[in-house]
Amino acid sequence: MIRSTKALSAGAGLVTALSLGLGMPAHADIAPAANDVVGVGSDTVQNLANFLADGDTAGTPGYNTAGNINRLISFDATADANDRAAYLNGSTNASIKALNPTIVLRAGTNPVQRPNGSGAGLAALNLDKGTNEIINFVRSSRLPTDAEQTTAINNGWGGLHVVRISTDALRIAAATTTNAPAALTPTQLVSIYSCTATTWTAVGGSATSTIIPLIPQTGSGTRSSFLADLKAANGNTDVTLGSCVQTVEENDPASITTATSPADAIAPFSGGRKNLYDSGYFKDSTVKFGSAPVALTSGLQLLSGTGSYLNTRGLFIVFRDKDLASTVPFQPGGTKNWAKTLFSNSGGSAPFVNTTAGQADIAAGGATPSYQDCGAGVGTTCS
Amino acid sequence: MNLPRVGAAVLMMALAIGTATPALAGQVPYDDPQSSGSLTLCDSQGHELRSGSTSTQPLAPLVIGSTQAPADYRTGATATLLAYQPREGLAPGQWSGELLTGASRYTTPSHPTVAALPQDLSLGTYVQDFPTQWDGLVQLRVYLGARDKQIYKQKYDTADLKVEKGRWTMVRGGGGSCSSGKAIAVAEILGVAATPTPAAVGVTSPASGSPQPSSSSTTTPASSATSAVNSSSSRDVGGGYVLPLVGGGFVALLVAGVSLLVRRRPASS
Repeated sequence: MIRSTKALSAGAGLVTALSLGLGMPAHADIAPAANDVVGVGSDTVQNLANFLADGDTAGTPGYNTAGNINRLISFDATADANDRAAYLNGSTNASIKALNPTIVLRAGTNPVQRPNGSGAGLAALNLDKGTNEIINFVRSSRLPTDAEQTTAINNGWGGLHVVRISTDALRIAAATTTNAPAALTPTQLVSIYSCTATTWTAVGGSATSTIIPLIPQTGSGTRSSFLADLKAANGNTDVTLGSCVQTVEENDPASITTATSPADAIAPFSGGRKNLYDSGYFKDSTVKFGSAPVALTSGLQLLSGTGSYLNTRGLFIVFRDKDLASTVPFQPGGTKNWAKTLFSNSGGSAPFVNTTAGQADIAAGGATPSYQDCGAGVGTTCS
Repeated sequence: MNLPRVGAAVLMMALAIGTATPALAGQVPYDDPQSSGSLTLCDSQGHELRSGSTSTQPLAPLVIGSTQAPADYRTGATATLLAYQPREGLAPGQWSGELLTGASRYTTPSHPTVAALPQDLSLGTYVQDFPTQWDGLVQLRVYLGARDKQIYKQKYDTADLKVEKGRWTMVRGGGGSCSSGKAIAVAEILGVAATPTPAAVGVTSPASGSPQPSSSSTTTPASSATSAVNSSSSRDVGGGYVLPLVGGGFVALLVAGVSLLVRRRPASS
């Protein structure tokens, strides 16, 4: 979906996106080699992982800067470097038809569906039970569930090892010009997302227009976290999403700015992603290579008035616990395996994500570095 | 006994040892065609470091390159220190390496500079991760970065260190001025230059079923290399522990050789 600093009508934007999404020729993305470390999963964490791998745009190095033969490779949740999702012809904001883009996870293998989101990534990891790991780690914006941990234990892996690399403020995003009040409490959000409160006057606003509540796609850790928070605000009872709720790609400002009525659209949104957007990292995709790039901004605000919904959540890297015990050095001439080199090395030298360089990469991605090795197994949490 | 010949032989031997031993200490059995110049390691007092303990963290508070940065890397640019593992039979481009520091924003493009932080890697940590494989040697490199540019690795300044018994000695490189380069760590600019907490395995607890609001770790601002950071154990300016022993022996032989030659001269009348 084309995005610029000017507002676009939802119809024009969607048609353009659909025309781009249909009939695109197949293209060759990188196909990792056998000894590369490959990750999939969360949309929220993808830019952090990209910077950890290859550095940011300000000259901060990533792990791969050293030029070692075996690389850290992280496949985005989205098929677009501007973090946009792609849809099939006929998609509307009210009825999304996902393109289901594919990736080649290892050289010599067939394209497979690109895991989009924490849940999709964790599911894919737990299904990757062959002799040679295809997926080594998952980016996740939520902790693995007990069921996911149990599956990993039953796979013979000792569970899923969780490392928190940063914290991120999950808030409600609205357009810069919005009819939403300055604050929306969790209780108010329960009413909005169950479609019992459909206009702003019902939740402390002054406009009588209809609220457009947006929620990330199934498989998204942001969706899971948000729904869990709504449940907690609803007396620990699951909130049934009403028919007024629309599913969109998480952390995509265009979901709000190109909605049928941007001033009425809201969505749970990563504070880190908004920071990255507003840093000018993403560029106008209509500008061809070689011409002066035009920086994009999010066009959003995060509601932060008194009582506003806020989840200062962790952002995680998850991998098979057994990988910590591997005796295979990650690099020729080295002594540490990839898990210890990159993510967790209890009692030893700092893994890359917790070095000065790694923390700078995470900060460049808009998040707050906050490393904790949380362990593995059923009930694993981070403090 | 033909004293002049003995004296000459002793003198020749002294000269040979005297010149050969420093040459052995300075000999690096490889050349890196991508090395454009040398790196000088400096302590926080502005003194060059030519040896030190491998456990000192960071290796050196300041690392200064001798080669002017390319045009695109002179403004708002960064420098990062890496260590590589020389391996016989492989080109330098095939050696395994590791970042010793994060990036530093330097203000002296004629001498790109890395300002290390207290939590950056010691040489000992690197050698644990990548044990030396060729004459105890480690190669240091500084790579440059800049906004919206690839990391510049076509040419880089280098230094070669020999690691032995918990100490390192510079065997090639150095010699620059420690006042020629200035930089600040990017992590300090971003406000994330905290001393990392030791990695700890979390204690599992009954799952709550919902994400726990996580609290941010307390960050402790770390001093940059431009402020007073003590590197007390690695001040050894001017040479490593090998040279005084060798130098003393060389002098003794030289004196012996000269004295034998002097004795042979006929007394002037």
